[in-house]
Amino acid sequence: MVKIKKIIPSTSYLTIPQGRENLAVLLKIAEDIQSINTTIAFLRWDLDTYMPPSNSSYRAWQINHLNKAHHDLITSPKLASLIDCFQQKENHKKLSKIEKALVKLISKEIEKIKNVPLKIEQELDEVKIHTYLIWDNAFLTDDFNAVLSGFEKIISLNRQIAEFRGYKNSPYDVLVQNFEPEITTKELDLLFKKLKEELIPILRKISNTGKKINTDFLCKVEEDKLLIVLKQVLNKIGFDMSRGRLDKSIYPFSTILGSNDIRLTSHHRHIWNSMSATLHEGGHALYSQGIDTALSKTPLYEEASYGIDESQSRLYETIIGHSFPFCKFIFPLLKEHFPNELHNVKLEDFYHAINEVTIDHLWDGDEITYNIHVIIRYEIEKDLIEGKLQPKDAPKAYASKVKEYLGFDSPNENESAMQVAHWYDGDIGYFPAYTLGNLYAAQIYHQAKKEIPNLEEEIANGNFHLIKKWLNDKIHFVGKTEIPKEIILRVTGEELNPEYFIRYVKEKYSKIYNVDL
Amino acid sequence: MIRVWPLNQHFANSTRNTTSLKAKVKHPLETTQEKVLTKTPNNNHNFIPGVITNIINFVLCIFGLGKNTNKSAELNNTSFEKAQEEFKNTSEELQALETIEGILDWDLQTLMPAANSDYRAWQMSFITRKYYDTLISDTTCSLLDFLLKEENFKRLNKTEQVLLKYIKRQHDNERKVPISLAEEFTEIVAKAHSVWIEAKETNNFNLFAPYLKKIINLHKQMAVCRGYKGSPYNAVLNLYDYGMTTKELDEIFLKLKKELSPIIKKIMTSKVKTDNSFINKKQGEGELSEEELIELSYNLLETIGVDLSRGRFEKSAHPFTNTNGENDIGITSCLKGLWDAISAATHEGGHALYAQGIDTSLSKTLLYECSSLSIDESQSRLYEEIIGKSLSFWKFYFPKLKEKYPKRLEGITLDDFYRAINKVEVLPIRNISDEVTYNLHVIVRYEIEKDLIEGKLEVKDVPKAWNMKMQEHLGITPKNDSEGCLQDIHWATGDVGYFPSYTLGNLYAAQIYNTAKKEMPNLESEIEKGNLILLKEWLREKIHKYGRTETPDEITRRVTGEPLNVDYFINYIKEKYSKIYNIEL
Repeated sequence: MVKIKKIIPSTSYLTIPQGRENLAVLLKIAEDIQSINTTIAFLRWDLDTYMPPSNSSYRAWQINHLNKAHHDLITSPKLASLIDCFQQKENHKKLSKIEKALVKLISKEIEKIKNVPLKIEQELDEVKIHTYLIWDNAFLTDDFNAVLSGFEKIISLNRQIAEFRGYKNSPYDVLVQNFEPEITTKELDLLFKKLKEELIPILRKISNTGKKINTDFLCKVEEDKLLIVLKQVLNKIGFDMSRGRLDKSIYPFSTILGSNDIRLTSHHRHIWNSMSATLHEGGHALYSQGIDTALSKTPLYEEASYGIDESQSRLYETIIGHSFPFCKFIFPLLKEHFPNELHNVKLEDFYHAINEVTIDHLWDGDEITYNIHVIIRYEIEKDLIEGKLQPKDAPKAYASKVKEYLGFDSPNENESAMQVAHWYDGDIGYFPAYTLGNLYAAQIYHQAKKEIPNLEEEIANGNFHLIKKWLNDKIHFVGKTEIPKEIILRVTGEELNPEYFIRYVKEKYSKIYNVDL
Repeated sequence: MIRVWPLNQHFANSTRNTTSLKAKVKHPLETTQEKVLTKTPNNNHNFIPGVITNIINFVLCIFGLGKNTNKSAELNNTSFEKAQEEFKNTSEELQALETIEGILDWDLQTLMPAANSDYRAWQMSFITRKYYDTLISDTTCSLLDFLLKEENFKRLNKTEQVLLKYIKRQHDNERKVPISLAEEFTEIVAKAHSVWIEAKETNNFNLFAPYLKKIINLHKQMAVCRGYKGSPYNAVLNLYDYGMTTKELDEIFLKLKKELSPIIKKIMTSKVKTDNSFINKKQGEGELSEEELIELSYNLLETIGVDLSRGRFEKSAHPFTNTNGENDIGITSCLKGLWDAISAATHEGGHALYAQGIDTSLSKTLLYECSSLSIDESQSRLYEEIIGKSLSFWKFYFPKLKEKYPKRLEGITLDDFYRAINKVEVLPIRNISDEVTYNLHVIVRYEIEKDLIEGKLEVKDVPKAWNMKMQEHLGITPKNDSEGCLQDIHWATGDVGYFPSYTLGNLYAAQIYNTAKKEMPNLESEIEKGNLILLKEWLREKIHKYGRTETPDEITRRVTGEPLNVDYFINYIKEKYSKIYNIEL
């Protein structure tokens, strides 16, 4: 037998590294965390796009192993001691801005999971995927009973997690902060109360005008033809296709799989809904592609929060995408590709049609009603988490709130509650981010118009370069190195203020509906 | 196992994604660093820096003395059940990481934007590192030793026993190689690929020679670390084909050479001349469109029995098949021309049937894999060559093909087609060679790499040796090194020892098919009727479902009643080609 050679590590490893070397170790762990994050994102993307459905439980098992690896990394004593070390004053001050943000982010991650048993996290991860897949089928027939047991487990596990993590006022704080750092249920209550006070009367006035808008020409069209236009528009707004992909999925989404691999999905069936969805995901994707690539192998290569992320998608989808200047650009393009569908339709008709206010029991309506639905969802999930409502009663609660705020009966009780995936893919606390996004977007766009002369004229000419560059510089570039409150203050000079959104709505819809708002 | 170098390269036409069979891996520096930073769990020896304890544990473990270390002492006190549970977890983690690496690689080669390749390589290297950290960890080491003790081992069920032995083998293979050596290997291989491309393009062997020399040297050193009996080439061979020996291969290949050379000579003298120019055309010059080739590929895959509800199909630069999950077998094709698409579908379809046929109760273990590279290749070659180029199959499929694409096959008869796809030609390039000459190409490579590893040949003399052997075995001398010793990617990716499995695959295929025909006398008449499910079910029962729980030798003996026997292949060739070339062989 041959003698085996021994490993003799070089002597430099014999001492515990000090100072910068310690930092290198920390950065290495941060890299590993990000590597796991983006790999999980990829496994999810694949699950939603190309994977054979029969493989779903195997995929859940694969993801579970990575979640466990993530958990092990975050909870390792070594990481805790490194973070402790860099939170000490004399060490902390030597760090760069990025490094400080990283230490803060990781210490929050540690806080988040150190008190939650791994078993609970794993159970939730499994329930999430399974329930999501059931929902994926059941939502077609509004079969709430099919998802109910998964939904119940999701709520109960989330409540347990909130208890393990601890909170001051509401257990919902813990969950909403997964999506919007440092925001509280109390702040949201105030914000949403104000919105309800303002928006519900506006909706009532609009509804009272009785104005009928013709939307017949916003119809289903040939998929392949539409895809060409969608790609053209993505390209126009500045999405770099060599650093990403566009694919098809039932529920459109966008995800970071690498700094040069930003993938968005859409459906390609409806002349305007699909365009709208693509602009929405395009807004997310521009954000993802605009983050400083120096951050790409750290967990800071991510949007600042779900709310800020949503502000970028809603900015492109609604504030720009549903604006009159944008119609000047997109309408001729659509007319060129779909001459039959848009035969005899005028620019004004088109603008009015896409902005029709459809006060409805469903969520995918206009940009005003939208927020009422978010608030309803917020109120329901807050009650579920605070134990004031049972999951089985969620559809009924939804219907009664629709009646209260919007004034009509739902034809099918389950339909509203089944409409969106988040309750069934486990993302409790996500919904407020949608309305926060609208509010941020209005405030940010207000600032952009002040700083960029002729912005709307440029958009009408199909020039999106200026707005993209401005957003890149002001919002996208910093990634997760700033929290939403810092970003809004830096960019607009004040804190989040719902007035900008309310003013925007009043100005726009008083013209469309010819009514004083 | 898990590949670390960026994979924009692939074995030209070798087609099987070797991810799960690749044995050489990186042990990144960070592993060592992390170990240093973790305080030793041994409280009685606080004065010993962690790294020294690690070395001690490591050395003790290698020499089977692991039971004296702290961790093993703990293990001894734990129950068998606990160890069994721990083993299940470790094994599942390894398989999860392996399949995750597989799907990352699949995406890299199919849908991922090219701009992301560095990032993807970085993601994959994390998974690889995690895999190897788990595989060679001290904990795994003591766990394996604990369960291998006779009183524990006998309490495991048969699958667990096979799995344990398999993981132990992988563990030893990797753990015995020093990290520094493994890293050096990874590094040189990462660099060698682009050098090889340049050398091939500029026909400059001298450019590639220093890299090949380094790779061979490292293989020799690693062979010493891993240990071997007889030839050091056995050590590299066993990375791909466990249990096969250089001695056996020498005998097999000698016999093949002796039989095949005269056959080729005779065929070359035949008066039958074949035109095969029509089987592949260029896009835009009368070839089927890409959409039509995709449709054809789906149809062929379904015809031979691939379940596409448990798999998917994409386009890639080189065709390959990959296990992305229990119900997720990925198949690709390059979709260049009619015959390229057909042979990719039958070849990859053969791999896919194997992958889909493995008992799903194994899916969360490392045994959810083919028995070996060579048995895997036997299934792909069985469908690509023996079935996919047989008269029985084309009697059924040619009329369908012609009906579907009348213009593409205008004026071509079944006989023309059958002869064209079976044309025998002596070419300098392996991967476009027919099934008669193909194995001699493999033998040339085998003899050269064996001599290199055994130190009987120097790298600088490879071109000379190559040309001589080509002349000797095939009667042809390559024009230059680009179409000679530089043509294949394998050595540049460090895959020395890989080539023999191609020929072994052909030999197993012929022998297995012979048994299939014996056991199902109506097999070929059923194929002529378009029933390929009979064969699929038989292969599944006899071979596929076992996954990696049996070795190639065990499979061959169980299925055919004897060990690997070259005669079946020779007889198959003689019978088939004497008819085609109207000549006595």
